[in-house]
Amino acid sequence: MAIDDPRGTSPCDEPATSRRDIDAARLVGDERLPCGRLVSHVWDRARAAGDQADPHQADCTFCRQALEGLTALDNATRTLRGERPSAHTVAERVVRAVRAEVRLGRMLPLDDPARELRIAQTAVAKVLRRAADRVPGVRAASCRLSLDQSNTEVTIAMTLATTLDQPLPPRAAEVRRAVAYAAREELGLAVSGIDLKIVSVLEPLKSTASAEPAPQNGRGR
Amino acid sequence: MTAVDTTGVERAAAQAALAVAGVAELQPSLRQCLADAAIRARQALGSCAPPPEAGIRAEYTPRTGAWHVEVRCAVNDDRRALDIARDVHDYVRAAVSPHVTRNAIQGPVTIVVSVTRITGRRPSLNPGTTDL
Repeated sequence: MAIDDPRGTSPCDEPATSRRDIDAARLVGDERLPCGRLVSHVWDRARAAGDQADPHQADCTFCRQALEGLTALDNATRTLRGERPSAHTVAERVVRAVRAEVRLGRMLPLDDPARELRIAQTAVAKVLRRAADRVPGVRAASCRLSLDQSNTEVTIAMTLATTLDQPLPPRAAEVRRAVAYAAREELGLAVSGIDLKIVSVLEPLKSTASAEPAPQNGRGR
Repeated sequence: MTAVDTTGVERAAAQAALAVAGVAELQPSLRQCLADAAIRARQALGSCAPPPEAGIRAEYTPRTGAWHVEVRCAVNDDRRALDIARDVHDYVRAAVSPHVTRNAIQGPVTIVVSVTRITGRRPSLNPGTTDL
Protein backbone atom coordinates (compact mmCIF):
# COMPACT_ATOMS: atom_id res chain seq x y z
CA MET A 1 0.00 0.00 0.00
CA ALA A 2 1.34 3.40 -0.97
CA ILE A 3 -0.20 5.45 1.82
CA ASP A 4 3.08 5.94 3.69
CA ASP A 5 5.14 6.44 0.57
CA PRO A 6 7.10 9.71 1.01
CA ARG A 7 6.83 10.36 -2.73
CA GLY A 8 3.09 10.47 -2.36
CA THR A 9 0.77 13.33 -1.73
CA SER A 10 1.14 15.92 0.96
CA PRO A 11 0.36 15.20 4.61
CA CYS A 12 -3.13 15.53 5.94
CA ASP A 13 -2.62 18.77 7.81
CA GLU A 14 -1.72 20.60 4.64
CA PRO A 15 -4.72 22.33 3.10
CA ALA A 16 -6.00 20.50 0.05
CA THR A 17 -5.98 23.65 -2.05
CA SER A 18 -2.21 24.06 -1.69
CA ARG A 19 -1.26 20.62 -2.95
CA ARG A 20 0.69 20.56 -6.17
CA ASP A 21 0.94 16.80 -6.65
CA ILE A 22 -1.76 14.86 -8.37
CA ASP A 23 -3.68 13.24 -5.55
CA ALA A 24 -6.18 10.50 -6.23
CA ALA A 25 -8.50 11.85 -3.54
CA ARG A 26 -8.63 15.29 -5.16
CA LEU A 27 -10.65 13.81 -8.00
CA VAL A 28 -13.48 12.80 -5.72
CA GLY A 29 -12.59 14.61 -2.51
CA ASP A 30 -15.80 16.62 -2.18
CA GLU A 31 -17.99 13.58 -2.39
CA ARG A 32 -19.65 12.64 0.87
CA LEU A 33 -19.89 8.97 1.79
CA PRO A 34 -23.15 7.49 3.15
CA CYS A 35 -21.53 7.47 6.60
CA GLY A 36 -21.24 11.26 6.45
CA ARG A 37 -17.49 11.63 5.93
CA LEU A 38 -15.91 13.36 2.98
CA VAL A 39 -13.81 11.13 0.76
CA SER A 40 -10.87 13.53 1.07
CA HIS A 41 -11.17 13.36 4.87
CA VAL A 42 -11.05 9.55 4.83
CA TRP A 43 -7.97 9.62 2.64
CA ASP A 44 -6.20 12.23 4.75
CA ARG A 45 -7.00 10.41 7.99
CA ALA A 46 -5.69 7.14 6.59
CA ARG A 47 -2.49 8.78 5.41
CA ALA A 48 -1.98 10.57 8.69
CA ALA A 49 -2.81 7.69 10.99
CA GLY A 50 -0.22 5.23 9.69
CA ASP A 51 -0.44 2.15 11.86
CA GLN A 52 -2.87 3.79 14.30
CA ALA A 53 -6.26 2.75 13.08
CA ASP A 54 -9.13 5.21 13.12
CA PRO A 55 -11.94 3.53 15.15
CA HIS A 56 -14.62 4.79 12.76
CA GLN A 57 -12.80 3.78 9.60
CA ALA A 58 -11.92 0.41 11.01
CA ASP A 59 -15.60 -0.44 11.37
CA CYS A 60 -17.08 1.54 8.46
CA THR A 61 -17.64 -0.37 5.23
CA PHE A 62 -18.04 2.82 3.21
CA CYS A 63 -14.77 4.26 4.41
CA ARG A 64 -12.90 1.00 3.85
CA GLN A 65 -14.22 0.66 0.31
CA ALA A 66 -13.39 4.25 -0.50
CA LEU A 67 -9.91 3.81 0.90
CA GLU A 68 -9.27 0.66 -1.11
CA GLY A 69 -10.41 2.35 -4.31
CA LEU A 70 -8.33 5.44 -3.68
CA THR A 71 -5.25 3.36 -2.89
CA ALA A 72 -5.58 1.56 -6.23
CA LEU A 73 -6.11 4.84 -8.03
CA ASP A 74 -3.14 6.38 -6.25
CA ASN A 75 -0.91 3.47 -7.28
CA ALA A 76 -2.11 3.77 -10.86
CA THR A 77 -1.44 7.48 -11.15
CA ARG A 78 2.03 7.12 -9.66
CA THR A 79 2.91 4.28 -12.02
CA LEU A 80 1.66 6.14 -15.07
CA ARG A 81 3.49 9.27 -13.94
CA GLY A 82 6.71 7.32 -13.49
CA GLU A 83 6.51 5.13 -16.57
CA ARG A 84 6.48 7.79 -19.31
CA PRO A 85 6.95 5.32 -22.17
CA SER A 86 9.11 6.56 -25.02
CA ALA A 87 7.78 6.82 -28.54
CA HIS A 88 9.93 3.82 -29.44
CA THR A 89 8.41 1.73 -26.67
CA VAL A 90 4.90 2.66 -27.71
CA ALA A 91 5.73 1.90 -31.35
CA GLU A 92 7.05 -1.52 -30.37
CA ARG A 93 3.87 -2.28 -28.46
CA VAL A 94 1.75 -1.20 -31.41
CA VAL A 95 3.74 -3.37 -33.82
CA ARG A 96 3.45 -6.34 -31.44
CA ALA A 97 -0.31 -5.89 -31.21
CA VAL A 98 -0.71 -5.65 -34.98
CA ARG A 99 1.51 -8.69 -35.57
CA ALA A 100 -0.55 -10.74 -33.13
CA GLU A 101 -3.67 -9.77 -35.05
CA VAL A 102 -2.12 -10.59 -38.41
CA ARG A 103 -0.98 -13.98 -37.13
CA LEU A 104 -4.61 -15.00 -36.69
CA GLY A 105 -4.95 -15.08 -40.47
CA ARG A 106 -8.27 -14.75 -42.22
CA MET A 107 -11.48 -15.84 -40.57
CA LEU A 108 -13.11 -18.98 -41.97
CA PRO A 109 -16.81 -19.83 -41.59
CA LEU A 110 -17.87 -22.61 -39.26
CA ASP A 111 -20.54 -24.92 -40.62
CA ASP A 112 -23.70 -23.17 -39.47
CA PRO A 113 -25.52 -21.19 -42.14
CA ALA A 114 -28.04 -19.86 -39.63
CA ARG A 115 -25.49 -18.08 -37.46
CA GLU A 116 -22.42 -15.98 -38.16
CA LEU A 117 -19.69 -18.12 -36.63
CA ARG A 118 -16.06 -17.90 -37.66
CA ILE A 119 -12.72 -19.39 -36.74
CA ALA A 120 -9.20 -18.12 -37.27
CA GLN A 121 -7.21 -19.78 -40.03
CA THR A 122 -4.24 -20.39 -37.73
CA ALA A 123 -6.41 -22.21 -35.20
CA VAL A 124 -7.81 -24.46 -37.94
CA ALA A 125 -4.40 -25.20 -39.45
CA LYS A 126 -2.99 -26.16 -36.06
CA VAL A 127 -5.73 -28.72 -35.44
CA LEU A 128 -5.49 -30.19 -38.95
CA ARG A 129 -1.71 -30.47 -38.86
CA ARG A 130 -1.94 -32.23 -35.54
CA ALA A 131 -4.45 -34.66 -37.04
CA ALA A 132 -2.05 -35.49 -39.88
CA ASP A 133 0.83 -35.86 -37.45
CA ARG A 134 -1.12 -38.53 -35.57
CA VAL A 135 -0.79 -40.88 -38.53
CA PRO A 136 2.36 -42.97 -37.97
CA GLY A 137 5.19 -42.07 -40.30
CA VAL A 138 3.67 -38.75 -41.36
CA ARG A 139 4.52 -35.16 -40.54
CA ALA A 140 2.55 -32.20 -41.88
CA ALA A 141 4.84 -29.69 -43.57
CA SER A 142 2.27 -27.03 -44.44
CA CYS A 143 -1.46 -26.47 -44.36
CA ARG A 144 -3.21 -23.94 -46.58
CA LEU A 145 -6.90 -23.20 -46.41
CA SER A 146 -9.01 -21.51 -49.05
CA LEU A 147 -12.68 -20.65 -49.26
CA ASP A 148 -14.84 -21.82 -52.10
CA GLN A 149 -16.82 -19.35 -54.18
CA SER A 150 -19.89 -19.59 -51.96
CA ASN A 151 -17.75 -18.65 -48.91
CA THR A 152 -19.23 -21.53 -46.94
CA GLU A 153 -16.83 -24.42 -47.54
CA VAL A 154 -13.10 -24.74 -47.14
CA THR A 155 -10.55 -26.55 -49.27
CA ILE A 156 -7.59 -27.95 -47.36
CA ALA A 157 -4.22 -28.22 -49.09
CA MET A 158 -1.49 -29.95 -47.10
CA THR A 159 2.07 -30.91 -47.86
CA LEU A 160 3.48 -33.89 -46.02
CA ALA A 161 6.70 -35.63 -45.19
CA THR A 162 6.36 -39.41 -44.90
CA THR A 163 8.43 -42.51 -44.42
CA LEU A 164 8.64 -44.92 -47.36
CA ASP A 165 8.16 -48.12 -45.37
CA GLN A 166 4.56 -48.40 -46.60
CA PRO A 167 2.87 -47.71 -49.95
CA LEU A 168 1.97 -44.08 -50.23
CA PRO A 169 -1.67 -44.30 -51.48
CA PRO A 170 -3.08 -46.04 -48.39
CA ARG A 171 -1.04 -43.81 -46.14
CA ALA A 172 -2.37 -40.71 -47.90
CA ALA A 173 -5.89 -42.08 -47.54
CA GLU A 174 -5.30 -42.50 -43.82
CA VAL A 175 -4.14 -38.90 -43.55
CA ARG A 176 -7.17 -37.77 -45.52
CA ARG A 177 -9.49 -39.61 -43.12
CA ALA A 178 -7.74 -38.17 -40.06
CA VAL A 179 -7.87 -34.63 -41.41
CA ALA A 180 -11.51 -34.93 -42.47
CA TYR A 181 -12.43 -36.31 -39.07
CA ALA A 182 -10.66 -33.47 -37.25
CA ALA A 183 -12.27 -30.84 -39.49
CA ARG A 184 -15.71 -32.26 -38.86
CA GLU A 185 -15.55 -33.51 -35.27
CA GLU A 186 -13.04 -31.20 -33.60
CA LEU A 187 -13.79 -28.00 -35.47
CA GLY A 188 -17.14 -28.19 -37.23
CA LEU A 189 -15.84 -27.03 -40.58
CA ALA A 190 -17.54 -27.70 -43.92
CA VAL A 191 -14.80 -29.09 -46.16
CA SER A 192 -15.14 -29.21 -49.93
CA GLY A 193 -11.89 -31.07 -50.56
CA ILE A 194 -8.56 -32.19 -49.18
CA ASP A 195 -5.50 -31.99 -51.42
CA LEU A 196 -2.42 -33.79 -50.17
CA LYS A 197 1.07 -33.55 -51.59
CA ILE A 198 4.02 -35.55 -50.31
CA VAL A 199 7.03 -33.32 -50.61
CA SER A 200 9.76 -34.99 -48.56
CA VAL A 201 10.82 -38.29 -47.08
CA LEU A 202 11.26 -39.18 -43.43
CA GLU A 203 13.69 -41.75 -42.09
CA PRO A 204 11.72 -44.86 -41.06
CA LEU A 205 11.19 -45.41 -37.38
CA LYS A 206 13.68 -47.66 -35.61
CA SER A 207 12.58 -49.77 -32.72
CA THR A 208 15.32 -48.50 -30.41
CA ALA A 209 15.36 -44.94 -31.67
CA SER A 210 13.26 -41.99 -30.76
CA ALA A 211 9.64 -42.05 -31.82
CA GLU A 212 10.14 -38.92 -33.89
CA PRO A 213 11.13 -39.65 -37.48
CA ALA A 214 13.88 -37.42 -38.83
CA PRO A 215 13.34 -35.68 -42.17
CA GLN A 216 15.93 -36.03 -44.90
CA ASN A 217 16.89 -32.90 -46.71
CA GLY A 218 16.91 -32.59 -50.48
CA ARG A 219 14.84 -35.65 -51.26
CA GLY A 220 11.54 -34.04 -52.01
CA ARG A 221 9.17 -35.46 -54.54
CA MET B 1 -35.04 8.23 -25.92
CA THR B 2 -32.95 6.20 -23.56
CA ALA B 3 -29.20 6.60 -23.84
CA VAL B 4 -27.44 3.83 -25.73
CA ASP B 5 -25.79 1.57 -23.18
CA THR B 6 -22.92 0.14 -25.20
CA THR B 7 -20.89 -0.62 -22.09
CA GLY B 8 -23.80 -2.49 -20.55
CA VAL B 9 -24.24 -4.52 -23.72
CA GLU B 10 -20.55 -5.39 -23.82
CA ARG B 11 -20.51 -6.34 -20.17
CA ALA B 12 -23.60 -8.55 -20.50
CA ALA B 13 -22.21 -10.18 -23.63
CA ALA B 14 -18.88 -10.88 -21.93
CA GLN B 15 -20.51 -12.49 -18.92
CA ALA B 16 -22.73 -14.62 -21.14
CA ALA B 17 -19.87 -15.76 -23.37
CA LEU B 18 -17.66 -16.69 -20.43
CA ALA B 19 -20.50 -18.78 -18.99
CA VAL B 20 -20.43 -21.14 -21.98
CA ALA B 21 -18.72 -24.47 -21.37
CA GLY B 22 -15.51 -24.61 -23.36
CA VAL B 23 -14.81 -20.88 -23.54
CA ALA B 24 -11.30 -20.40 -22.14
CA GLU B 25 -11.19 -16.62 -22.36
CA LEU B 26 -12.23 -13.66 -24.44
CA GLN B 27 -9.56 -12.26 -26.71
CA PRO B 28 -9.17 -8.48 -26.86
CA SER B 29 -9.76 -6.82 -30.18
CA LEU B 30 -7.01 -5.02 -32.07
CA ARG B 31 -8.56 -1.74 -30.99
CA GLN B 32 -8.19 -2.73 -27.35
CA CYS B 33 -4.65 -4.00 -27.88
CA LEU B 34 -3.62 -0.75 -29.52
CA ALA B 35 -5.12 1.24 -26.69
CA ASP B 36 -3.18 -0.90 -24.24
CA ALA B 37 -0.01 -0.27 -26.19
CA ALA B 38 -0.19 3.39 -25.29
CA ILE B 39 -1.53 3.11 -21.76
CA ARG B 40 -0.66 0.49 -19.21
CA ALA B 41 -3.05 1.60 -16.51
CA ARG B 42 -4.11 -1.93 -15.75
CA GLN B 43 -0.61 -2.86 -14.67
CA ALA B 44 -0.64 0.06 -12.28
CA LEU B 45 -3.91 -1.20 -10.88
CA GLY B 46 -2.28 -4.53 -10.14
CA SER B 47 -3.86 -6.52 -12.97
CA CYS B 48 -2.26 -7.36 -16.29
CA ALA B 49 -5.27 -9.22 -17.61
CA PRO B 50 -7.62 -7.19 -19.78
CA PRO B 51 -11.23 -6.99 -18.65
CA PRO B 52 -13.53 -9.56 -20.28
CA GLU B 53 -15.37 -6.78 -22.13
CA ALA B 54 -12.18 -6.21 -24.13
CA GLY B 55 -13.14 -9.29 -26.13
CA ILE B 56 -16.51 -7.79 -27.09
CA ARG B 57 -17.21 -5.07 -29.61
CA ALA B 58 -20.71 -3.66 -29.61
CA GLU B 59 -21.82 -1.03 -32.09
CA TYR B 60 -25.15 0.70 -32.38
CA THR B 61 -26.43 2.41 -35.50
CA PRO B 62 -28.79 5.18 -34.40
CA ARG B 63 -30.44 5.63 -37.81
CA THR B 64 -31.62 2.02 -38.05
CA GLY B 65 -31.49 1.00 -34.41
CA ALA B 66 -29.33 -1.97 -35.39
CA TRP B 67 -26.83 -3.54 -33.02
CA HIS B 68 -23.72 -5.38 -34.11
CA VAL B 69 -22.03 -7.42 -31.38
CA GLU B 70 -18.79 -9.27 -32.06
CA VAL B 71 -17.37 -11.79 -29.62
CA ARG B 72 -13.78 -13.00 -29.91
CA CYS B 73 -13.03 -16.05 -27.83
CA ALA B 74 -10.38 -18.67 -27.23
CA VAL B 75 -11.91 -22.09 -26.67
CA ASN B 76 -10.85 -25.38 -25.13
CA ASP B 77 -10.54 -28.44 -27.31
CA ASP B 78 -12.70 -30.64 -25.11
CA ARG B 79 -15.75 -29.57 -27.14
CA ARG B 80 -16.19 -29.03 -30.84
CA ALA B 81 -15.42 -25.43 -31.73
CA LEU B 82 -18.65 -25.15 -33.71
CA ASP B 83 -20.78 -26.23 -30.74
CA ILE B 84 -19.05 -23.79 -28.41
CA ALA B 85 -19.47 -20.96 -30.92
CA ARG B 86 -23.16 -21.78 -31.33
CA ASP B 87 -23.69 -21.66 -27.57
CA VAL B 88 -21.79 -18.40 -27.29
CA HIS B 89 -23.93 -16.93 -30.05
CA ASP B 90 -27.19 -17.95 -28.41
CA TYR B 91 -26.15 -17.06 -24.86
CA VAL B 92 -24.95 -13.63 -25.94
CA ARG B 93 -28.09 -12.95 -27.94
CA ALA B 94 -30.22 -13.79 -24.93
CA ALA B 95 -28.06 -11.72 -22.58
CA VAL B 96 -27.99 -8.54 -24.66
CA SER B 97 -31.69 -8.58 -25.59
CA PRO B 98 -32.86 -6.71 -22.48
CA HIS B 99 -30.25 -4.00 -23.13
CA VAL B 100 -30.84 -3.47 -26.83
CA THR B 101 -34.62 -3.30 -26.54
CA ARG B 102 -34.41 -0.26 -24.28
CA ASN B 103 -33.81 2.04 -27.21
CA ALA B 104 -36.63 3.83 -28.95
CA ILE B 105 -35.68 2.50 -32.37
CA GLN B 106 -35.31 -1.24 -32.29
CA GLY B 107 -33.45 -2.67 -35.23
CA PRO B 108 -31.88 -6.01 -35.98
CA VAL B 109 -29.27 -7.48 -33.65
CA THR B 110 -26.34 -9.22 -35.31
CA ILE B 111 -24.11 -11.46 -33.21
CA VAL B 112 -20.79 -12.57 -34.72
CA VAL B 113 -18.68 -15.13 -32.87
CA SER B 114 -15.02 -15.50 -33.82
CA VAL B 115 -12.94 -18.34 -32.43
CA THR B 116 -9.39 -17.02 -32.38
CA ARG B 117 -7.56 -19.84 -30.63
CA ILE B 118 -8.03 -23.42 -29.47
CA THR B 119 -6.26 -24.30 -26.26
CA GLY B 120 -5.53 -27.54 -24.48
CA ARG B 121 -4.88 -30.94 -25.96
CA ARG B 122 -7.12 -33.92 -26.27
CA PRO B 123 -5.55 -37.12 -24.96
CA SER B 124 -6.36 -39.04 -28.12
CA LEU B 125 -8.88 -39.16 -30.89
CA ASN B 126 -9.83 -42.10 -32.98
CA PRO B 127 -10.25 -41.01 -36.59
CA GLY B 128 -13.54 -42.15 -37.96
CA THR B 129 -14.05 -44.34 -40.95
CA THR B 130 -16.04 -41.83 -42.95
CA ASP B 131 -14.14 -40.44 -45.88
CA LEU B 132 -14.82 -37.25 -47.76
